[in-house]
Amino acid sequence: MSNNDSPWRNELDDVMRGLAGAFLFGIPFLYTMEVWWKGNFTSPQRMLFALLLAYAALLVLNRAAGFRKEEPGPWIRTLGDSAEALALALVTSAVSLLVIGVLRVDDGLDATMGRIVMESVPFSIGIGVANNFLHRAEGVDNASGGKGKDAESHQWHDHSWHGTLADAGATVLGATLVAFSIAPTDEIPMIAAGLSPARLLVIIAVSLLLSYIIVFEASFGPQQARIEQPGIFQSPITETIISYLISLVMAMVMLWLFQLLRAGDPPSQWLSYIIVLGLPATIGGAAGRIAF
Amino acid sequence: MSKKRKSSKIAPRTTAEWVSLVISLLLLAVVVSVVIKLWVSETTEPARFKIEVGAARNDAGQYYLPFALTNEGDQTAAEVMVEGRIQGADTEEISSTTFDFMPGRARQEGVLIFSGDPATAQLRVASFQRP
Repeated sequence: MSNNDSPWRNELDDVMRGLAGAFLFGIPFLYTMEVWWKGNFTSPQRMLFALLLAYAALLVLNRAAGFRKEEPGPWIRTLGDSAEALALALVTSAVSLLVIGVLRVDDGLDATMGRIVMESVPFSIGIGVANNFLHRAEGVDNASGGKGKDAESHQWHDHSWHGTLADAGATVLGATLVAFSIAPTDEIPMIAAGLSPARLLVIIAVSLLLSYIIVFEASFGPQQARIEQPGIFQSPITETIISYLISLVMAMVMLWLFQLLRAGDPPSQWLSYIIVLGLPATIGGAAGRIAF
Repeated sequence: MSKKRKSSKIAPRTTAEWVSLVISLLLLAVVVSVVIKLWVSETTEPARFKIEVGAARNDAGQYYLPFALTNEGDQTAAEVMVEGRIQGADTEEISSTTFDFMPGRARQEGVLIFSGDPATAQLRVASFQRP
């Protein structure tokens, strides 16, 4: 891709990687009602402290990673980078709370701010870790050339069942690892209860998008290797969709296992619960495909 | 968030980096100023409730009476119990519901169900807890 090295593309990549990191680390907190609950009656002083804490964590992460390289760069740059990461964490926190229907206009400004600020703390740390520790070294990144978009032009030649099974297995493992601790909690019925069908569609879209970003845009794992790995999963769009379906099946199995879903329950309940748990499951599945 | 370039050499920020930095700082400024505004305007006005009653709907012999509950105070209330009462000549019907959570200035809706016509129903907040 000719525009891959443009500064705008680089900025976009940074945002994508931040988003991926925020959700990888933040999703268990997003599905923890105590975090929103406590956000409801957090005093403004505490909110400011939480923001400072998140900012300090980002400074430490950015600085620590800088020292691991030969040159940590000037402080002013670290301050700016950390501010960007914190802003991204706040936006991500607000959007994700909106998507799962936890933020409502009626709730009053202080409760709304409290929820956003509290949720942004784990998101910030996720962004800091993603930017500094999960991001591959620059040399490898360049060597692999374009990523993401290039993947679409990839022709999936000689099918390898081995690669396909490995991907499916990694998705199952990752989805189970992340979603198993969320499946038995009250958050699933609680979130699902407040969601309209349109909102469910939004969650499906967000799940697919995040899965795609984590695996193909965030430059975490061996991306180029992934793209070149043969198997019917290849073509990133196909892989993303099939992995989402696998994650939904895993979500269903876990919900059934924990008896949140029973045979007699109405189909709408099955559908909404599965889609709600499908979001963390997909994120776990995406992480699994990078990690395993 | 520009580790990619800064690791090898400390290049000056590109336009794209400046734009994202400025947007980020603006956003942070908004968030911090909203929090500070909340801090400054923070009052200790206790929770105080207003109930607006809607039009009752009759369904299979039951009357569904919708209402909106607003917390006009600043403090958060938990387990807010709304009680509706129809006082007849010699009968009295009471119906109630509980809101888990009412932050300051928040508004939520609920429905009370009566078997008698709630035209004369009196709604009040019977109790709440401080979280």
